[in-house]
Amino acid sequence: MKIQRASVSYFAKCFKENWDLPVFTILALAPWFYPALAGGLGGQMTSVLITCIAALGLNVMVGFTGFLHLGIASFFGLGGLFLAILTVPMNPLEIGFLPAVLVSVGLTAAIGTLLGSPTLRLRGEYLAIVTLGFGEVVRVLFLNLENVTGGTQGLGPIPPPGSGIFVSGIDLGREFVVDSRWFYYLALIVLFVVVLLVRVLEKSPLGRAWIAVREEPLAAATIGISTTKVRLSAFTIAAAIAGLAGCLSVASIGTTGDPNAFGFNRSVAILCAVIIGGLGSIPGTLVGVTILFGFDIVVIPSVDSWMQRIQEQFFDASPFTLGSWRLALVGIALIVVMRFRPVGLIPSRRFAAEFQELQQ
Amino acid sequence: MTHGENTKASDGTVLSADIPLLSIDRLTVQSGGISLIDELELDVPAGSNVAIIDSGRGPKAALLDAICGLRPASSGSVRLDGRRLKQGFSAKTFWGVLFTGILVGLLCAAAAVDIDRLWLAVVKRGLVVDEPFTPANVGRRLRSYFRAELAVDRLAGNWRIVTADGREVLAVRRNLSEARELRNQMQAAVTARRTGPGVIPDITDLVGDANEPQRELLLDETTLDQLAAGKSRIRFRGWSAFICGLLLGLGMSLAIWQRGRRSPEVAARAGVARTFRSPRIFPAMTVFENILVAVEQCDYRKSSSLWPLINKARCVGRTEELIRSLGLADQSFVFAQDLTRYEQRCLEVARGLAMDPRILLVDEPAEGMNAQQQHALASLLKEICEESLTLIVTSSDCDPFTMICDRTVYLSTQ
Repeated sequence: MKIQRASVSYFAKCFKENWDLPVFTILALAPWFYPALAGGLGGQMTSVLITCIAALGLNVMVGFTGFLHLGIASFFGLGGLFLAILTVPMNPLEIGFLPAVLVSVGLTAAIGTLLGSPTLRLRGEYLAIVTLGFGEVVRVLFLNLENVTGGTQGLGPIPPPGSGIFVSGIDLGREFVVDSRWFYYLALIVLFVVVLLVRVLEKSPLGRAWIAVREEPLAAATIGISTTKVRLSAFTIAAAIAGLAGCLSVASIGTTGDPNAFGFNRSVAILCAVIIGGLGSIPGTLVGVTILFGFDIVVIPSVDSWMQRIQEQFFDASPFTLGSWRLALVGIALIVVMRFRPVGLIPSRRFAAEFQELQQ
Repeated sequence: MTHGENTKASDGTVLSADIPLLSIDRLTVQSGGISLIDELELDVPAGSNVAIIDSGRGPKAALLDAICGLRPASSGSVRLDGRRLKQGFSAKTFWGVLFTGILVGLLCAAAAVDIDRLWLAVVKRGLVVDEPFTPANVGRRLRSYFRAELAVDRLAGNWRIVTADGREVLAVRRNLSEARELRNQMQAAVTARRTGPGVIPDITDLVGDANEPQRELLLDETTLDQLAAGKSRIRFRGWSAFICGLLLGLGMSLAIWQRGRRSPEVAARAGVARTFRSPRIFPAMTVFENILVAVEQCDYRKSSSLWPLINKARCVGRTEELIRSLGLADQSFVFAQDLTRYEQRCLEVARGLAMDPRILLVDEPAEGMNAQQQHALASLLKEICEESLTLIVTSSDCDPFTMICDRTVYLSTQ
């Protein structure tokens, strides 16, 4: 009994340190064992994975550097918009998917730097208000620059990645449209790369400088860390990662869609996911997004269709749907998590220590 | 106060006897109308240790803050090696300021000339009229937008003659060539109105004159006037917005530069390290990381390499060396918040030393420690300062730290 417990805790420890490969392997093999992922659910899982990428970008800003950012969805939208402008057949540029992604991520990063530079001296709530305002400005610009962005209808159709590339007689673009697994794997690979990138950044001198500035800005300045550069780099990297996620999202849907989707609600939802999962923790962020968004777009629809079938069999009453209680359930879950586990579901060691200090 | 009389004999680090390492000249620091420091003059030669004693809290802290750039001086100057601790206006600053200015100017201009309409005129109209998207065509459409020329557009199978921004429709025709011809005639009329009566009309206008009655039919006088004014209007808007934005951007970035001139970063890079009265460590970082951050910043500045290429082994080695020399080896991987006050103070000193400073400011090290710990830290500091480091210690009384100094300065409070 004792041995068993020891071995369990040993495995738990190993898994905590090397969670990434097993988790990504399982996700990569999942479509074979769970066929729904290749069908209708595939697209929804893809959007969860893409939101994970955006949340990792936000985590750089909120978790590592400690600046509250309420406009991450606007960068998500900007990345998507740039990709659309560059690739949509309506526009004359029509460049390939990969260069378009690179250019739009670069542009989004530049806009992130531009937003960061006039707000260098703001912190806390004031910075949050600036980012909130920026998010709204971007949304309204999307709505009003109708000729550029397509207004409320959005820009489309965006050709799928790899369209026009033939591998042994198969058009890759067509495959992307026909089989949702292609996008699932694309999102999975990009997510894996972003996880590695964020982890390398966290362990790099730049990452340490971010954390130093978060913990004690005055002391950080007196040891020669340029707070300006540190802040700007956090803004830029967060914007770039969110822009990358936006590119993928827009390409998987095929249009930029309604700009209102890039507004305040999405920003706050992503922020909530990061906080629930655990600030500054990469696995925490992934778990937070999976729970919050996965619940919303994967679990609820499937549970609803199942419940409807049962209710039609047994009752005559108007069917009860979980979908209409969705937001209430999310709200209750948030309250419960924050009450019983305020550091997040999988807190980083550092943040747990910080929180402990705050409690004292 | 001039040079210290009893300068410590150091191993040849005094570069020139004339220039003291740190010279404070008529320094005044005010806070909320009260002057904390009034016309202080102090020279600290290299290698000497100075204790600053004052019973009040404010002036000492204000002096250290003023030296390391945390607090602006009302007047007077602080020089290290004869140079002021201020960032100069380098070529990099110049290009940065200019770039920001032009960028902000372009953004303002884009808003003023209505980027949405510009996109319509340059990109969308080309697609509608089926013109290939070549640089020449784009250039022509851009020019015609800024000259506010009339254009041909399509809507629901009809060809329309519209103003450059597509807001007003002047005429509708069924086929393209007819519409183009009409557009050219209208444009000729508008151009003639623009050049004004004082200009001798060229040959196309003379031809236009021959069809005088037809032109009367095309556009009435008011519309013609409005169209003629369009060109100057859009140019005026664009240029004025660009100039406003340019000035705004230049001013903004200059202001940011000016505010960052005397910042702690600049002092730190020049070689001023400091510790605080209540230790300001990075609480949720381990002792090792606390010091590594500073070592890396120092290495980054010295090796002038990009941050991913910092020599990791060298940084780690230096960090371990510092941890050992300050006696923190056992606590290497403990979060700094869990250390005792004495250890935190040691850590702060180690972090300061990690920057490879020329001068170390230690603010009230005796605060919150017992006599034994004070002696231990004082002897550590004394050991460290043997090696070509200048030390400034503040204190409110005579304590072990003032004993290791070879000069004592009393700040008189009136």
